[in-house]
Amino acid sequence: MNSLKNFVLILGACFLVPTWCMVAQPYAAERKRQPVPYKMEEPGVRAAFDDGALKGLFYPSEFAGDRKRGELIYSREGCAQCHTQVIRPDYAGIDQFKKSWGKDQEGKEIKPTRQTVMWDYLHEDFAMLGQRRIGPDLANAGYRFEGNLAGLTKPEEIAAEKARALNDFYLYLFAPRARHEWSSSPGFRHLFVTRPKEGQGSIDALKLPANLAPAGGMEIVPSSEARALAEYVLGLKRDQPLPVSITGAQPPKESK
Amino acid sequence: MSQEDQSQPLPDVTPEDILQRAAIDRSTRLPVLFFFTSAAAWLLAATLLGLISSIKLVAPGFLGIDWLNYGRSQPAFLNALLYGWAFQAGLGVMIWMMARLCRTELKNPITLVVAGHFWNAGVAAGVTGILAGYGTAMKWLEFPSFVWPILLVSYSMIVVWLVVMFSARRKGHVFISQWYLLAACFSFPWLYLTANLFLNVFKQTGVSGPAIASWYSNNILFLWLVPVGLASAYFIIPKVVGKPIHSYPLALLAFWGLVAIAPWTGAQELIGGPLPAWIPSIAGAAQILLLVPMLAIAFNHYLTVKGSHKLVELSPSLRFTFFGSIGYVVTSVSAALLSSMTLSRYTGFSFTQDAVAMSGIYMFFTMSMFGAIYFIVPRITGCEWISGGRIRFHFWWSAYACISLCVLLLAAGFSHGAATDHWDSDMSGAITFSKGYLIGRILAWVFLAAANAVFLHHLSLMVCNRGRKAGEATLIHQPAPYDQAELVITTERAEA
Repeated sequence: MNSLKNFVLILGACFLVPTWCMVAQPYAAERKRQPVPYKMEEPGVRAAFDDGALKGLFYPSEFAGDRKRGELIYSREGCAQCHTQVIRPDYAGIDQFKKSWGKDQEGKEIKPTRQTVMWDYLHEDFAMLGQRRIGPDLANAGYRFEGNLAGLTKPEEIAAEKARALNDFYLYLFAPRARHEWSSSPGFRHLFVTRPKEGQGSIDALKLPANLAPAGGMEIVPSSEARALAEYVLGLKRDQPLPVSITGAQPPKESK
Repeated sequence: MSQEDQSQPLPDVTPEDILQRAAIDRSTRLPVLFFFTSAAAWLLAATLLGLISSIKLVAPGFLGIDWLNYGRSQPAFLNALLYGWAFQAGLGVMIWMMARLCRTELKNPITLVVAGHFWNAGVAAGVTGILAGYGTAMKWLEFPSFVWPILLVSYSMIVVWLVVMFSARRKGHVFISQWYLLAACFSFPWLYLTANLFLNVFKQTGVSGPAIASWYSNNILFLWLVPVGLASAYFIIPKVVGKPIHSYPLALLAFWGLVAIAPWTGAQELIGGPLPAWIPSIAGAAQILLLVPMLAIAFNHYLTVKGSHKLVELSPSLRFTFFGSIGYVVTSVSAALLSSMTLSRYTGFSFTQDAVAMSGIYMFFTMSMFGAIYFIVPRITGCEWISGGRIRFHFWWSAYACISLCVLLLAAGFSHGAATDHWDSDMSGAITFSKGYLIGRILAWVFLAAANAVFLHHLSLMVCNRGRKAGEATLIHQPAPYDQAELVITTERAEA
């Protein structure tokens, strides 16, 4: 082994095989992965279609609108330093049973949150699994910030509730401690614009507590970056039924 | 020389040897001092960023600048520490040791200094980029995507001359340190190129992205920091103690064990993540297997120092290196523990990962590099360190602070994980329970900042040629009279 050539050859072999297995193969598998079609007769799918929760016939659906830009801002601001987007299976943690980490925000249902699978991150350049979990998990943050829509039927009521919830989200982003005194999240003031109020003011203007409120005649509104980020975070809804071809679950037999 | 000769005492030093060593030291003087000085400056900058980011986690409103939000200052700190300090200190040590061990003079110091300037510019641009909000979310690869070609090219420009030196080495025995240095020459370009090609060029990595980033970061730890730190330890310990490595075949076996097993590790950080289960499983198993080479190395180091433990007290180089060797054991054991699926329930995605990173980068690597710098700088500047008191201050404050840093991060991680492990708890419990430890971490960073400021000042004086011009080597303590005789014998050998 005392020659440079032999050393490099052995070293190369030592590196090459694991690089193939741990890097290239998972990447190739990811690139080959395609959205999976739902079949209408699958369990849970019919109801979800009626809910309007499933937008397309495939899982996952494409990133629409500003979500891609929101993802970029999420990574630039370092959100993934403190927030994960993973629901681990029960052998690795309690994530599936955490209150408000899934679709059901109240923790009333016995049904656990679905664990995250590879398809959940299909349209992302880099899945934001996150480095630490200092803040709550955001795998299903979309349900948390869409508001309490249960029981609302009129379109204007739903729109008003969604606008209220969105404003809540902006408030979180602007001054986290205005909501939770113990929060260790930073405020992202550079994502907001302070400007003179025109007429009745913007519908998106932050409803701030007195100690944070801007001077009279001024309002604080989210910048386009904050809007993109909101679109991304509100789109994080991974607690959806999966097509049978992913889960391998058999549809229940028809009762006679 | 065959391997059997290793068990013989070191051969006597001839006058030609001394002249040749002086010539080698002169040839490496410029690049090595350049890398050490800029590394020490980056270390102080990184320490201050670490201080800011640890304050920001407890008091998010601190300083009121959004550029310093935890999400930016934390990656800026870690990348400054890694690419600014660790890599440059490592490169300085690599250049000098490779030249000394190959017994060849460095032919082109200017090329290395130019490449070093590019490296520094790349790191500065990267850290500023992260703070300005152009970073990425990839672990230890947070620099904006334009930075990586600069770093890769300048690193390759430097190490290619080390490989040239190796192939032009004086024929004969190859020391274990040389294999480690050579492995480090090749491993960084391999890891960095692979990770950046997939993450920054091919893109659309989906869930394979975090797996690749974890593979990269863990391997930077075990295939770059560990080889360079161990090369330095395998060099410094025999030199100062005046004995060859206890068992050379064991050292070689441990080297190949490390190189063969380490590239499989990394993805165990994502236990329970949305990956095929075999990826974290194999990675975790490999991480635990790495305990075997670690034990062989630690045993070898221990047996080499055995009987000369008095020197650990006196010699600055050996004291720091010895501490670093213990840090290597701590890093390997804690990394193996965190690969356990049972513990991952509490440790997954928590501060415990930071504890492993800090014990690897600081407790092991940084302390080993301090030891090497205390050994190398007097030889290439031709003057001795100014005061043993400052070295003592540097050692104790660094040692105390980096031990408490790792312990506090582990405790914060476990308490955070345990507090989150209840179905209807929000994050308030987790944040309140870990707060005390995180405040303690701020204090540790204050201590490290003081220690590193003293170190930078001491090193700058040496570089500016204001060290002690003559006399005995600077020791941490003045030895008691009855130790003198023993010490004279060993330091004469140490001059080798």
